[in-house]
Amino acid sequence: MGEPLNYWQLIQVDGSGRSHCIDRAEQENFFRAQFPENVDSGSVADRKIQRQLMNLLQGDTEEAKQAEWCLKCYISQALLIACRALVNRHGMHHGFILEELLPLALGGLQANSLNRDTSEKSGFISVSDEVLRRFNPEKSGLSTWCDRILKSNREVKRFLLEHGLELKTNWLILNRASVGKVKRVLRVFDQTERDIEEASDLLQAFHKVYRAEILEPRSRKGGTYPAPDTQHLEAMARCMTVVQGLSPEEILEKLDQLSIFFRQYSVQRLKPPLQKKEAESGPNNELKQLLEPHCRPCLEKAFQVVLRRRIDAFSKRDLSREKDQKSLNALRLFHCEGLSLSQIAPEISLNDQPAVSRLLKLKTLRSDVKTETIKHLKESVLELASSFRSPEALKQLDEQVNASLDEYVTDLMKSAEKKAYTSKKASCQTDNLFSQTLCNVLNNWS
Amino acid sequence: MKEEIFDYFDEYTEMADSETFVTLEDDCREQARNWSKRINNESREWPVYLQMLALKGFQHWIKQRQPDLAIDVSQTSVLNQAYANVMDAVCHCKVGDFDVCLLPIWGIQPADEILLPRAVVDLPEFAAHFYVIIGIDESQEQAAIQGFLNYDQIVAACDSIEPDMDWNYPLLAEDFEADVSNLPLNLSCLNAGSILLPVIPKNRQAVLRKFQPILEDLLPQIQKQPLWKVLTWEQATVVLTNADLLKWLWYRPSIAEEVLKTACLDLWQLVCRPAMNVYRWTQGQLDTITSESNWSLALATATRSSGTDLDTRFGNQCSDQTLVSLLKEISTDIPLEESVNSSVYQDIGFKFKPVRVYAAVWNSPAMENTWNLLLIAGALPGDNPPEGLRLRISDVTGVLMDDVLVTEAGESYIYGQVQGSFDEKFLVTLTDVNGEVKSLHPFEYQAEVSL
Repeated sequence: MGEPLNYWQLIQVDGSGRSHCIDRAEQENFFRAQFPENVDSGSVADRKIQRQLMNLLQGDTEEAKQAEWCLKCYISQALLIACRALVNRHGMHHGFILEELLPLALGGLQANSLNRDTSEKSGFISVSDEVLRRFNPEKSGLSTWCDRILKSNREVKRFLLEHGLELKTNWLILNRASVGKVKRVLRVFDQTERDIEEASDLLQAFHKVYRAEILEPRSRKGGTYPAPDTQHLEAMARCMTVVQGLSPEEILEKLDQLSIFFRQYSVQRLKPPLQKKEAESGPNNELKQLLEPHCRPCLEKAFQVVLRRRIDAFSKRDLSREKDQKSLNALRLFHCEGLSLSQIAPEISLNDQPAVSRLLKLKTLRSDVKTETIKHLKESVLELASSFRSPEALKQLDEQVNASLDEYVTDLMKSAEKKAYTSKKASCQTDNLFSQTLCNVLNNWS
Repeated sequence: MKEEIFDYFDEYTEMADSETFVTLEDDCREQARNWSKRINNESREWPVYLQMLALKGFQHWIKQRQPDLAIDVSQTSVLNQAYANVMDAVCHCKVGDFDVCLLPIWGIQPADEILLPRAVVDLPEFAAHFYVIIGIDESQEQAAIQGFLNYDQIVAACDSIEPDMDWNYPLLAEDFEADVSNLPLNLSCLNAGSILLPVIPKNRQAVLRKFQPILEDLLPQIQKQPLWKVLTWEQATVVLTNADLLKWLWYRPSIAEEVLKTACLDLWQLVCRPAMNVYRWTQGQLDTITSESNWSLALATATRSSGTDLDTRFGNQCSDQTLVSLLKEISTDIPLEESVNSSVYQDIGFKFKPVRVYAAVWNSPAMENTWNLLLIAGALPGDNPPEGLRLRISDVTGVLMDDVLVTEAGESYIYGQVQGSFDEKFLVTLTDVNGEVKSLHPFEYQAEVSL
C-alpha cells in the first residue's frame, strides 16, 4: 500500500541538481475524483491504481493527460528513491553525489511544459517517458520498473561507468558462461546430473536466442543490452530439448536461479586479497649511476614522442584543434603551474575534475612515457656496452637492464604521481625529473 | 520472483581503468558481423563476431600505445575459417617478434573468471608469447584491454586446474597482470627469445595414423556441434593440429550425404598418404614419392630443350595420340610449353585392361599462388579405349569431379582439371569397369622446397 500523494506530488530538479517537491493541484483534484475511497483511507493499492491509470492513458483526452501526469508524479518519486539508494550505496566510494545523478534521472520532468514535442524533436527520451512507454502493470509494480529503467538508461550507465561502476546483470553473467562451467558450478552446489543437464540445455537456449538478438544489425545502435523480453523467453523455451513447454515466467525463473549459482560460486572462489609486496630493494646503485646521465635526454625524447603521438591522434580524428589545445594547456597547468585538477577545470572550461582527468589520461601518459624511455635508454646504454662485451654478455646485460630500468623508471614515475594527487601548492613540482622534463618539452612546443 | 531479479540488478561491479578502453569504430562492427555470417555455422557466429572485434580493438590499441610496433593479423585463426570454426580465441596475432593470443569476453566489466581454451596452451601449434583478455561492449562501442599473461605464467596458472568438460581452463581473472601498460613495454623492449615456446612434437603424423580408424568413424558425425560433444581431448588433439581435417570439418555440413562416404574415404587418403610434390615436375625433376610410384617424366630430359617442334619431340614416346594434341584438344587456355615440360605419365595395371595416365601441371599467370593440375586417362598406345573407366578428383572439402568414359559417345579418353592454392592437395582415384580401384598418391605443390 502506498501514499496517495505520490500521485500528485512531482519531484523536479533545478539547475544545481537539487530536488524540489511540487504539489500539483490539478492532479490532486483529478485523483481524488477518480479514486475517492483510496484517498479517504490514506493508503492506496498501487498496482490496481496504476493499472487503471494506464488504461486511462489511451486516447487523446483530458483524462489521458491527467492520468499521465499522475503517473509521472509517481515515477518522479520512485526515481528519487532509486537515485538515493544508488548514492547511499556507491556514491561515497565512487565519488558522486545525488545532485549529479538526479538531473539524469529526472531531466525532462518540467512542470510547466508538457515537453513531449521538444523531446520527440531532439530524439531525447527522458527516463520517465521511457518508463511510461515500457511499463506493463500486469508484470510488476511501477517503482520496480522505474528502478530497472533507470539503471539501464544509457546516460545513467555512462555516468556510473565514468565513476567506475557497471551493472553486473544476469544476462552478462549468463552470456559469459559456458556449458562446462554449468557442470562445474552446479556440482559444487550438489545438483543432480538431471539438473545439470537441464541447466546446460537452458544456457544453450539462452545463448542461441540472446546472442542472435545482439548480432541482429537492427539492434540498438549505441543502445544498451536489454533484458530478454517475453518473445525471447518463448523462443528459448522452444529451443530447449531436455524440458519442453516451459512458460516465459518459468524460463526467467530458471535463468535467474542459474545466475544466482554463478554469482555465489564466484564469491566462493575469490581468493582473499593478497598483501601487495613493496619492491624489495630500490634500484641498483651501480646501475643508477650508469644510467643517470642518460636518463634525462631519454625522458625528454620519450615525452616528445608520446606528446606528438597524442596530438597526431587528435588531428587524425579531425576533432577540433581546441581539444589539443585544452589537453596541452591542462598538462602545462598541471605539471608546470602546479594547479590541482579541480583548479584546472574552470581554466579550460570543463565542468569537473573527472572531465579533466579524462582529458589528461595521466596514467596512460605515464606508462607510455615509461615504455619510450626504456626503449631509448636501452638503445643508448647498449651502445655503450657493445664495445666491450661479447654477444652472450650483451644479451645478459640487456635482460638485466630491462629488469632494472623498469624498476628505476617506475620509481621515478611513482614519485611524480604521488605529487600529482596530493599537492595543491603551486610550483612545487619542478623538483622532479618527470615534471621538469615535461615542462621543458611543453614550453618548447608553444 | 521478479523482485529477486531486480535486486540482483543492483549489483554493480568495479570498472576497469577507463584508460584501457579503446573505441570500436562503427565499420568494424559491420565487418565483424559480416565475417561471422560467412562462417556458415550459426552457433559459431557469436564467438567469431567477438573475436573480430577483439582483434580490431587490439590493433587499434597497439597503434595508439606503440605505433612503432608492427602488427600482422594475416595469419590469425579468426581470419581462417577452418580455424575460426573451432577456436575460441584469436591465435597467431603477430606483434613485432611476438605471437599474441587474444581472449575475447563479452562486456567491458572485469570478469571473475576467464575461460581459457585448452588448445591455446596445451597445443604447441597455438601457443603464444602473450595472452591478452579483451572485453567487448559493442553497445558502448568500446573494447577494454583487461589483463595479460606470458606463456610461462599461463602454463603455471593452468597447472593446478582441471579443464572443464568443454575444454576450457577456468582461470581467475585476478591472476592476470592487470597493469596492461606493461604489455606494450614487453612487446617493444623484450627479446623474443626470452619467452620460449614449446616445440611441435614430431610424431603428429604417427598419432594421426593411430587414431585414423576411430576418427574415420567419428568425424562424419560432427555436423555443426562443438568438437567436445563428439571427441575425446586426445582425439581432438589430432584434429586440431591437422589443417586438412579442420578444413574438412568446416566443409562437412555442405557435403551431401550420398557422397559423404566417398568424401571420407578420399579425405583420409589425402591426410595420411605422403604426397607428390608437383613443384619438382615443373623443374623437370621427380621427387622420391613420385618416382617410387612409377611415374616418369613424359618428356625425357634430353629432349626438353626447346627449339624443335613440340609434336616432334613428344611424338617419339606416344605412338597413337600425342599428349600435345590432347592438350590442344582439351583447352586452348593451357600453356603448352609449360604444361608439357612438367608432365608425367604412368601405366596403371588394372587386371582387366591397363590404362595410361598423364598428369600435367602449370601455374596460372593471371592468379598468383595457384596451380593447375590436369589428369588424362586413356588406353595404352595401340589399345582400345577403356570403356567405363571412372576418374574422380577430390580435395579435403569433398569430391570435385567424378566422370566416366563412354566410348559410345565417341570418347577415347577421360580428363579432369582442377585449380588449387599452394596449401591445397588433390587426390585422384581411378576405377575400372569391373570396379577395381586405384588411388594415386596425393598431388601437392610446395614451391618452398629447395632443390
